[in-house]
Amino acid sequence: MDQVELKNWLHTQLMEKVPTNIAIIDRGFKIVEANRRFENTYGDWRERHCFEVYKRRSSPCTNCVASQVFADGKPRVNEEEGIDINGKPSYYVVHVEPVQAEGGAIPYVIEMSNDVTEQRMMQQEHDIIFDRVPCYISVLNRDMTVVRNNELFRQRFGDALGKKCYQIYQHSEETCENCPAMRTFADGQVHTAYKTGKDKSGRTVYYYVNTAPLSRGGDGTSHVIEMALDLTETKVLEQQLKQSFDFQENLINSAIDAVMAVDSEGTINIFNPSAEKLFQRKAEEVIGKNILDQFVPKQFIDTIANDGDSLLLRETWVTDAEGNQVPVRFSGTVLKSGGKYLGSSAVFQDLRQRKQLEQEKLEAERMAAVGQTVAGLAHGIKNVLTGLEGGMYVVNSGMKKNDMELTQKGWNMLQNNIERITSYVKDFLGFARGREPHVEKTDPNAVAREVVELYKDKTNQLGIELKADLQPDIALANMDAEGLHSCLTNLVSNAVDACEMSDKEDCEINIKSYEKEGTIYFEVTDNGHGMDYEVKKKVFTTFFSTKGTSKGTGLGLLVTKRIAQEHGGRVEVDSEEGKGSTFRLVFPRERLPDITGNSNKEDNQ
Amino acid sequence: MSEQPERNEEEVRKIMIVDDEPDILLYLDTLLQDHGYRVIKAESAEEAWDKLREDKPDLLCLDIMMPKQSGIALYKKLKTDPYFKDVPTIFISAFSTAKDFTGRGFRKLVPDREVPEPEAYLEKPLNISSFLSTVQENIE
Repeated sequence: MDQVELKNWLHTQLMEKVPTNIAIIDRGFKIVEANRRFENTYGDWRERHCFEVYKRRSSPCTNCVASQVFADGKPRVNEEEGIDINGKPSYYVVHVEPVQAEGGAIPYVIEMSNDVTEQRMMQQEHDIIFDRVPCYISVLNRDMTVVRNNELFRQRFGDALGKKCYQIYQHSEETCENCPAMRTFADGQVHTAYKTGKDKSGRTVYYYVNTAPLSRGGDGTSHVIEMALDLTETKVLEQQLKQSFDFQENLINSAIDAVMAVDSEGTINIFNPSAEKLFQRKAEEVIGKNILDQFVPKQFIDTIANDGDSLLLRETWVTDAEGNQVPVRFSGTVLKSGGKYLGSSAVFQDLRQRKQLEQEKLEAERMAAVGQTVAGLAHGIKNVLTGLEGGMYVVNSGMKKNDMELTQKGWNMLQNNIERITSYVKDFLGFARGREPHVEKTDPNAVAREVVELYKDKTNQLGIELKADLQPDIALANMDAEGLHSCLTNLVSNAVDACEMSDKEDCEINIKSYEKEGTIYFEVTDNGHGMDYEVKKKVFTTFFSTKGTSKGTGLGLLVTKRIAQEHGGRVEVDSEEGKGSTFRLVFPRERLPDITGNSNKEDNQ
Repeated sequence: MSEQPERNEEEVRKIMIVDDEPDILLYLDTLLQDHGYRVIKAESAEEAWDKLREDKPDLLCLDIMMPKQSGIALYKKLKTDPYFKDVPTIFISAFSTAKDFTGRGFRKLVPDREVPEPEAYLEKPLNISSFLSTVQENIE
């Protein structure tokens, strides 16, 4: 093989071994030569035009690069999209070189193409990721100018190309403090920041930004890629949560009632200012400690231990730091979520002031009763005076007329009225002095039974039927048994008189006791003569008696009313003329007095 | 004893007194008889109503607080009855003062405007001379 042959052989080898598709095209766009690699990619090329082979077109391409090279003889590079032997899109970078003949003519061009389909696909995927990733992405140059941005960025901030990033994100003309992009430019490291900005319509956007260095051209950081995660929704939720938390905290802190709570471990985590006041303990001494049992009633500790739900004590006692017993209304709740124990909360209403007010009200009522009694006493005395005056007149008249019978009647009048004033004074002193009530655990029905026993004989003699209807399960109550006895005796005695005054043959009196919603009731009902309007109006307010001279002073109901008031209760009356009356003693348990002489107050819920 | 001019049997004035206290009845009966009046006594409003119809009085002295029917109930019945409504009435009671029984005080007890205020209201204990002059003024 001579030198020329060797060279030709090597050229042919080169043509086949070079890792590039090579085709040589004449001025008519016919492919005159191509290597095997080309043929393997695009199929048979012989006697065919380049546009047919590359792109399966029937006519030359617009912007045909080969024709430009034929025209000016300058080599060109272009990216093209063709169709490969299998009919699939094929992306390729093609270098087009002129082949110059002697004299400058260009009969051929050589097209050397490299397949970039795979890179192109990856690029497309990257573009999709770039545009679709749920982040605002922008590429900044060293002037902080946005040179690229993604779809999401454009949607939220508008088209920002060529503008400064701070104009876009902040609507500002100055760079931000601690700009992470600037730091990345300075040190080539990744930086992050939480930022608040504004979108294209001026709405606030909260975002977490991450800046990474980008090197184009290999000389350090030429660009920065900025990726911002939108936190607006999270932030809004966070703010709402915080507001609601602040609101609740405020509510608890400003509550008049003492509030405390423990977590599932029993550690105190809420102790509001009212609790500090009630217990005389500082929140910081208490919070974080496992000492709930020092504050709440023992029943509540049991409620928690027994997996209960809540505990309400209308009135109980707690002890403050100085050992004082404080009356409170207690409400404890066991907090659960889906059956899981989360902790417990307790609310204490300080009853000291209410107790004080109740005491004052009772005192005021008692004073009013005394005032009415004094007015009533005047009424009684006026009647007695009239009787005395009348007696004197009748005695005088009888003596003048020498009428012994009339004189005697006058004397009797004087005597009656002197007796009457004596009993007034006795009753009144009894009323005014009162008696120290002796309160103890008392069976209300036992007292009622005693009164029935007391009146059994008398009513029998008078032909009145005395019945008792006592609810058997009324619990013991803090009462002055003797006082209650007086009340019931007065009411039964009145009922007996009402029956006596009535014309009815079959009179009956019924004593009834019952308890409803924490209130004890006694009722004394008669079917006697009843009362008309004027009598009803005056019945509790004066020494009022309709029974004439021989019976009582009219103090009975006043005494009854006073005793009821001493028990925190009241007397009610229903009466209809001719049909009878019902007098009702009403004792709400929560208003009943404490046991006499027992300073060690106990829970009477 | 009598300060009244002598009258014929027909001219003797009849006064009804109603009071549940026998003492008061005896007192007023004696007092009025001593002054030449004829007295009809009743111990209750019901008894008074029965006796009124038998013997219409020239004047009525009425207690207020009585068992069963009160004096006010009887008064309302009389003043709305065409036959009795012209009988002058004096209330006598220890129960209230005159203030409670005249003008607005009376209207509180008896809102019915058809029922006029009573001719007089006297408080116990009675002043004998003003009682007698009130009786005399209202009986003519």
